[in-house]
Amino acid sequence: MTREEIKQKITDILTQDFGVPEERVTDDATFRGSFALDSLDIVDFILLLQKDFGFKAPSESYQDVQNVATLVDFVAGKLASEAA
Amino acid sequence: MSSTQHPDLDRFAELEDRAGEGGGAQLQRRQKRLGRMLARERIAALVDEGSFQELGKLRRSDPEDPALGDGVVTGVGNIAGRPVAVYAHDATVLRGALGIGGARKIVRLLDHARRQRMPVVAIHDSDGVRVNEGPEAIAGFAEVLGRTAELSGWVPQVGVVLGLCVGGAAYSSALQDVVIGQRETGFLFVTGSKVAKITTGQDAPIEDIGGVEMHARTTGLVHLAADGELECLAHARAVLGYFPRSAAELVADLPCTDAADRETPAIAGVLPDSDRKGYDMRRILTEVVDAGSFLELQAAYAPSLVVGLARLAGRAIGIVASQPSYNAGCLDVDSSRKGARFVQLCSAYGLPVITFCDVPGFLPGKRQEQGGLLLHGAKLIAAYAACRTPRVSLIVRKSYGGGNVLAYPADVRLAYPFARVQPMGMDAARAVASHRTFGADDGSDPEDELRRRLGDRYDAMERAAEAGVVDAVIHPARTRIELVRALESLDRLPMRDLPPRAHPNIPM
Repeated sequence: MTREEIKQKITDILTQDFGVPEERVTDDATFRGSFALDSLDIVDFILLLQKDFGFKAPSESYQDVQNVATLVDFVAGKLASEAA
Repeated sequence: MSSTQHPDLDRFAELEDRAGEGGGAQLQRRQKRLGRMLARERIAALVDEGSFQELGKLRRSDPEDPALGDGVVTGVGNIAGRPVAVYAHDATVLRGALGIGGARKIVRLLDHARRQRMPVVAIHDSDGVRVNEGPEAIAGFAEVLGRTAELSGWVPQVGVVLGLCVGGAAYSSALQDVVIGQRETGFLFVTGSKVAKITTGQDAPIEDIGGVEMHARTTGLVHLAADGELECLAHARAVLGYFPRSAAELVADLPCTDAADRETPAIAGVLPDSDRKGYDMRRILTEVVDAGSFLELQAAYAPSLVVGLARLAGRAIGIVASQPSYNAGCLDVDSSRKGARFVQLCSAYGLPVITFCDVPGFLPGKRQEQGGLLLHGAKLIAAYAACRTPRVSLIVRKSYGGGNVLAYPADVRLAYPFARVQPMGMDAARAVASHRTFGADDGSDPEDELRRRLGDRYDAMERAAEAGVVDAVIHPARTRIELVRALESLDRLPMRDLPPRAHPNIPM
């Protein structure tokens, strides 16, 4: 899966499940600041992310995820390691 | 008059439809994508088909709230033909947060359950209190918690944790008699503010702070953990099958296809050759009780003691059993708490307690002592002493020292011929005797001297039977027959001179 495809899938989750306007989903957008997700939203978001991409990761492994771009990196890394 | 002729009928039909939409299509979609059913779907899966009557569906305490129902679905349905009061937080409405309106709905339902003597099932999926409602909302949740506590011991209460369960909702669960949780999506936390730290990785992982699996293993708060929502709801139905409608009644016997006079020869094969070897006590339990009836609770928590519900010749019973395959079945802080709360639960709702004992004593050591072993062990003693239902014990292999708190407090005490009841095991007795009596090096063999003084019968069951510590010595192959007989000899009505409720089943 390419980075663009990963980002589109993330965008779909944010728009369809959390009502985030698509134009706000930019690389440097942050989940709390830009999308106004609170901590419990983020728990749901992580569960949906893992469900849609088909991997599992403990919550603390997301601690370096700061914005959309770093989340795309994180997902790409997980998918690569799952495939290996 | 047809329903289309009167505008009020159409208007109310529309309101009913709107109430069914909860927090709206987007949030309902998210809930389903998370693998969580909607509140009304959960209730429909819990109760007998078509039996649920929703109450307060159109309630709305805040006129500005677009959602009807105040974020919680309440009503009465049947489980196996018996009425049950049910409430389910609607996670699509402000994530199931409870305001004053929702709290009043729950309180009204709990009062109804008490008056009508029916069990309560609470389906939890709530992030706590509606902060924007301020002190009124706090008062509302306090009312719910207070009513839940007051109801304890009157009617069985089962909590099913299917989503995030924060603050007051989590405490509601902790107050209930049996808690069932969904492993992947169920979480119980004390405070929502903690979650911010958890999810940003600045604290422990969310699973370690409040995951269902953690609560099943570490705190014991979750009695049954399951992988799916339907499985959790099926557990709730099954659990209630062992309990009466209320403490004022006895649970009905079920028709039993497993013969009451069935012999249990397989037990001999479970017991190892050596007294020092462990074995899985559950193999004995399942051999003795009605086929397929054993439902273990808190299986992953404090595993040196097994507790569970079962049926014996059709009669609902509670089982407490040493587990020699874990720490030799030693009682410790956690297993004492586990056993105490379970005996209290059985006592509160009229279930006889059968205790299978194979215990070398309490687990020694600084960690246990500093952890409050005396305090928690005392709870176990107190729970058996206060138990108002029939108690039968069976010493399978040994009951040493303080571990006798399990076997001794029984109306009928049984034992196998090879079982031992002593202040301590033979090895420990030798060590103590050697140290205290034979400390001087006079060349004598301590063991020989001990045997001379105590005789070869130190460990023999005859001594326990002669002393009246054991009422009857039975053959393992007759275990089921003798336990059925013992129960039949005991009064079914627990403590008839007491009011229907003996005490609340408070967390211990």
